[in-house]
Amino acid sequence: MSETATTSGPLIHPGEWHIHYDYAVGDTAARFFTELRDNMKVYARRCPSCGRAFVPPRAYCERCFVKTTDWVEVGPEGVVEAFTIVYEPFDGLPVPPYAVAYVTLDGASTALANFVTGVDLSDPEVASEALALGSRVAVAFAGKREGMITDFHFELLGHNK
Amino acid sequence: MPTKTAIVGVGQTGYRFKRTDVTIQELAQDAAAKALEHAHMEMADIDAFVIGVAPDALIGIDNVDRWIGQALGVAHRPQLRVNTGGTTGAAAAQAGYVHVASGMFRTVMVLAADKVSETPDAQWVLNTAMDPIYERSLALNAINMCSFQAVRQMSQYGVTERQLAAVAVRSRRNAAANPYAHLRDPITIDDVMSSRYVCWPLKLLDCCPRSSGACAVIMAAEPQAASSPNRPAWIQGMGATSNTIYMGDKMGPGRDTDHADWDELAIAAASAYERAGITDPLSQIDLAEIYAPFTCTEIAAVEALGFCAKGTGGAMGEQGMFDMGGPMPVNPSGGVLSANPISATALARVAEAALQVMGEAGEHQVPGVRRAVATGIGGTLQFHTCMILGDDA
Amino acid sequence: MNIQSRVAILGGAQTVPAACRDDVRLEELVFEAAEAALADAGMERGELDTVVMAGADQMDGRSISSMMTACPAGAYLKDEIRTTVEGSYAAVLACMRIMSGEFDTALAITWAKTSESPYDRVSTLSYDPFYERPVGLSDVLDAAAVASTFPGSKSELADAARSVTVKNRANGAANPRAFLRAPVSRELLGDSPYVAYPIRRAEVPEACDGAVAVVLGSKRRAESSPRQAVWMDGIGWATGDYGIEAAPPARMDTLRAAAERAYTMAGVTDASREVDFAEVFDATPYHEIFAYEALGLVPDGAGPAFAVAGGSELHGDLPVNPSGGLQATNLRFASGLGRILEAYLQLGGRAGPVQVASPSQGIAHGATTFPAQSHAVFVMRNY
Repeated sequence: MSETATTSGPLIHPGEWHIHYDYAVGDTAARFFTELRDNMKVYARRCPSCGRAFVPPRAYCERCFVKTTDWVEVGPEGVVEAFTIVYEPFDGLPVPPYAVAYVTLDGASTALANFVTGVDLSDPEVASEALALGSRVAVAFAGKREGMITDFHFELLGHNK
Repeated sequence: MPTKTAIVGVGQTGYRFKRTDVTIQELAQDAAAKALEHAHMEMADIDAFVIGVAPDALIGIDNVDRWIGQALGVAHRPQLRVNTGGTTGAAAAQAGYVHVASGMFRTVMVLAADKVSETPDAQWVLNTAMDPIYERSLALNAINMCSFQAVRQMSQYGVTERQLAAVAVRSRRNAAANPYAHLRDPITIDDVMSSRYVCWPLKLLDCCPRSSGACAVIMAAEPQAASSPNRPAWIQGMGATSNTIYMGDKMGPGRDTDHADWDELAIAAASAYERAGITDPLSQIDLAEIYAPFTCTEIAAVEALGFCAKGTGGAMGEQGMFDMGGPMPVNPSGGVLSANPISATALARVAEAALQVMGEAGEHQVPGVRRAVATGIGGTLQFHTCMILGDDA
Repeated sequence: MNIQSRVAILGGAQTVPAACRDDVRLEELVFEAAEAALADAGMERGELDTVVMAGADQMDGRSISSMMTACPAGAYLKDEIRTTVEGSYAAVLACMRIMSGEFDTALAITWAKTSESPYDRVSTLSYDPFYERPVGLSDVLDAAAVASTFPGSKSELADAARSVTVKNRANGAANPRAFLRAPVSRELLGDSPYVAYPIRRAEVPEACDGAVAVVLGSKRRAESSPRQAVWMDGIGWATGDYGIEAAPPARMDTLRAAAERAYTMAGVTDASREVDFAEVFDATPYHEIFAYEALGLVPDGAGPAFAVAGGSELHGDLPVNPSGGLQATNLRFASGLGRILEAYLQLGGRAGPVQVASPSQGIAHGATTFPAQSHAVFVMRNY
């Protein structure tokens, strides 16, 4: 039996949801993650109709509604398109502060999200200036890679608007 | 031609942080009873039900709509759940509208309820809405996705943190006159500017609260609506647009729309305006109830609705354009920054717009309203809805 | 009723069902079905006015799963809405949208990829957290409890259940679109252990992964469609009590209410005479037997005898689940739209080896499991 809280206030029954899922990433994302893990390369997937190179890779183009076909290597550098610095702790999410940015890697048509390192986040004003849109970053790979998006992160190279 | 359809009754519970005195069923019952009373109708008069419930995990009961249906005592009647994230309540209203407009039903009740305060894990739940394969492990949630919009607005249009703050100050000023609002204490620009950063550049007072509450709306076909004791709020037009979940697709050189803007809302509004015969929104619409959970999102919305040019929403707001008494009052109710019962939030925008058209908004009534617009937003700022309510069919 | 426009199905498709589609992620499975349905209808994505999806978050392992599936379903920068009841409710809402005159074309789509999710655990989360969830109810337990309320002979009912499973698995063996293609014998079923009395393990079909989509259009649009239109002339749906029904649950009063609405709308006065075939929800064979009676295909009490006598067989008086139903293709949550697709193919003469002889009117039925069963009934015609 779960413990029931009985105070002079309301009666509350505690509850938890634990649902395990095994997400199949599919053949397209599997190729992307394998290249990250084994060869430390970032690949985009190109739409044969509009020519856009999607990273993270998509098996189909949402606009043209056709299957994508070719792989194209992108990066390893890119430009910051948007960022945030998280200062508030949220249950189940990382301990703040941390910075997350969307970056268009060189050769890609779309921006890719990941954590950014190499910035002192203690002062929001200084940190936000360092990360300003247009800043250049480079992909930096983890030593131990598991075929996950967190096999890499972005490192700030310096401001270059 | 669609069967002419109007909102003839509205019920809201009032939005508060916690409601430990009632279950979610009882909250929904309360809103439904209020809507019936307002419409001078009985439950037996309602032909069908649309129930809006957003992520189940925020409430902790899968398919809670069925539990709510039991509380209404409407077993064996048509009931349909709509679930589209933040837009849920507005999408439920659009689904309710076609129940009547199709000619299939004379009346429909659209109902939405939420008790977000029963989980401390709301942002974690919203993180599980992100792509589990590419993005979930990057700690994305409902707050930082709006931060990405704000930094692009600041960079592209020179939007300032003070302009963001002005949105919050106006919302809370309006909420003081709305007894249903959750946060009703007025705040100042300095209060917002000195509140702590949550996800830079958004500060605590740029963000909506988490609220519990329920909202119900009754719609009726023309003959019933025209004989309602209330002034009907006719549904003159609606539109909705969905975009990709991938925010990065709205930033790179290959983008069709920009994450800074709400081009999707502009598409939805164009559809709603065309149906309603609106060509000059600023002169033909009297007020807007905008689903703006963070200050930056309202700036994108007023531009997308055609009230001011792209890139000018922040400055126009700071100059008072959207104040009560201004050229286009926005969120007389205090909006989402003053109350956010997630499943019901977008329906509350429709309900408030309807009350304004009915002339029954109370202390926050805008004088002489003939037409109002209500919007909804959901997903990674990817789902947009728009509905026009007016005093003639 | 003052319907603005008659609604037709203009095309449809289902992905090839498989136990586990780990070669694609969920969104790619959705794209496969949408792309194939549009191709079947001879249409481009640009011709769609709206996309109506049916999906359930916990089944999908994604909160607000429509965020991920909207665009692969064809909704990029288009009108789109998602319902969470059961797959067939995508068609309910899509039909109403077209009937209103506000939309000319719609894609209705649903999916199941339960190889990724713990179905039994998820199904228990639908129960009331205070009174029912702690008791450990699940949909199979509920189905067993419902079967116990059937007023007739228990042994006759169990015998009829075996007939239904044998029939549906035989139909599935002949249907190239089915998942389980091996027939089963009465002996095998009789030897199968009980999951929850009277339901045996072999009467609960293995689930599969797949997505189903149909393209719908207004009367005006149907007139220029390359394929024979199949009309959605009657639609009814209803949701039952969350707790124990007042009437014996095996009567399926909620299904009766849904059917009555659909029949009234379509002008069907005696389904047993007017309907040529039915595709129904048969998560267990008991569901199918109860549906015979609730849908008015046979008089009350005659369901078991009808099944045993072969009346619902492929070449019987009134074929039920010529596709093999859920007993052969169990797309959890999504199966109702699968029933609609199979009925559409029957009425277009495209059902292949399981084609019923020249049907002109059929029924499709989608339903949820318990608690508070929801049922949707469609009367479909090719004239």
